[in-house]
Amino acid sequence: MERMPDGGSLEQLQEPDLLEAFADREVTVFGFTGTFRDLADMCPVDLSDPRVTLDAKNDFVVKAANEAGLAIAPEHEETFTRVTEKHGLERKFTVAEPPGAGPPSVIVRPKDFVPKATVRIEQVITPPDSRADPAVLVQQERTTTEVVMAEATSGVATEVPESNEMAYQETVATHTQEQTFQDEPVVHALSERMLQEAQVQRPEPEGEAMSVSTKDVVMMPVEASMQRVVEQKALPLTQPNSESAPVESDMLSLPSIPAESFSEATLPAMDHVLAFDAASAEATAETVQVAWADELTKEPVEIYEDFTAALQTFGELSEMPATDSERDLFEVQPHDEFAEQAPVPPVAAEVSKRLAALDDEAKETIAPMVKDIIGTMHGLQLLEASSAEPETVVAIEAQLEELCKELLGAIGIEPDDEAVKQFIDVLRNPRFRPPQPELSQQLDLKHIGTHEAKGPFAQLGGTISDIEHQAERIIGKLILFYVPHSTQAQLQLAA
Amino acid sequence: MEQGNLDPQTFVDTYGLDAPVAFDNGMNVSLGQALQMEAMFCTADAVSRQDPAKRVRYLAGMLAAGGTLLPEHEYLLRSESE
Repeated sequence: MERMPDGGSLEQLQEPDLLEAFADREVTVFGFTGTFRDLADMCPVDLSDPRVTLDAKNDFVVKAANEAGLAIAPEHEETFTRVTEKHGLERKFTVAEPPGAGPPSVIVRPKDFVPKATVRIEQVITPPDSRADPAVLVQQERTTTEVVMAEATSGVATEVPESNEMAYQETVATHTQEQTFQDEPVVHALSERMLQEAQVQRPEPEGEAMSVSTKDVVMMPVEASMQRVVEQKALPLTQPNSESAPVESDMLSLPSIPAESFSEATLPAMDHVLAFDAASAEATAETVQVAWADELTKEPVEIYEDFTAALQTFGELSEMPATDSERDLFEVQPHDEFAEQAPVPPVAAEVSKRLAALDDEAKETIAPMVKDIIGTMHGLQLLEASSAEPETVVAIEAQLEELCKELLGAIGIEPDDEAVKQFIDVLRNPRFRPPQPELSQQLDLKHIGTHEAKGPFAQLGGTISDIEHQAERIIGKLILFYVPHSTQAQLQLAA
Repeated sequence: MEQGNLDPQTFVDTYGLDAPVAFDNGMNVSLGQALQMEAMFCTADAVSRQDPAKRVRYLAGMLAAGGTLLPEHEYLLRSESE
């Protein structure tokens, strides 16, 4: 226990000893990371010297924590505010509100909520199971959230802290046990791969199937993708409106489905899917998760094409009013995302346009970035669905932000905060989904077994309906042409 | 050279902000980072700031720990220990 200064006022005596409170918390400031105890040891004066006043020590803690943009407990806000104002510092710290205090800083999400809006990095996401236990939140807030946020804010540390990595592995392990689609091979393989690759710190060779898992996106994509950007600073982008725009055959578009008819072909199916989803918001979240998980098994270029198509479809869908099923589905959510029907963010259309206009060389460069983004997004969905540790979610959200910045920059869009936020909003929107497989592919899925079909099966509402309809017709014909023997005999007699 | 003649700014300029420094607790940072960190202690290190010679010795100590203290400045360490 630190000695209080002699002659201190009552107010001073009531001041918390922030150095003691923050001693073991890690912080990244000015590009290096250490605990507050480590940082205090860098002081020219021994801070344990009783002549050093509590105010002096608290000033140091507040300055360092503020510089790092840490989230602090509400009980420390007053001290932090006073010190930052006293020194004329910009307020960079954030306050994690106690559970149940409302939406601003602490967002308590239902398990099945797939938000449209991106959660800001300053926010602390609390899993439902920790909501009832304030100690959990306080402990989490005190241990690792600030570290992740500081690292993300400083832009220096790109590796997730070991504690986060462990939490992530635990989450993945829990997820694979608890999720209803645990037997689904694609997701299962993905999860296994995540666990295997948790020990691997290097990127996988390009071109390998499933080269990006959610584990990859935690540890690798920023460095890997940054390297790609550095290596290929100037992508041979073709402006969509320029005279040198590629001919249509060179442009990426949905294979075999013309853009004009794509909506006509897919929107009814989408509505059908949403009708299924209306029964359970969880099913919707799972459908989206599985759809993206399925994407991750594809080659980067395929993912890139589906991603571009999904952006295009999202724009078309967003211009349509929400369906009743969508409204029903999201009425139960804390944020009625579809009620407002916000216009499509301009960045979505711009990204879609620019991605579609890339030439082959640029496409190959961009495709792994897109795959990284999909992997990160899918990892985030899995974590949110499995009540992950908030610091892990925050870390991956930061990762997603970095990847999106990278992508926007690579295709010539200024990656300012607003554009990145808008783009992430699009990615996190439940309406942003991979394009539906063609009918023949869907029918193939029908024959590959329960496990294989389980994931995409929920998306295939339209196909199921068709199949059922065909079966009904066949049964109807059988009934129509079936004549009982007794009736046959009567007919023969009559003849 | 009299240590009192060496002001902290000149001393820092001699080594540059990228010079590696180290602390007893094992922290290895650059001199620039150490100075930024030092600014966090503007109240706590008031004594050091009021005594430039002491501050130079402090800087010399961390540079020595980082392995970059020039031989001509090693006297600063001796002075400190004396």
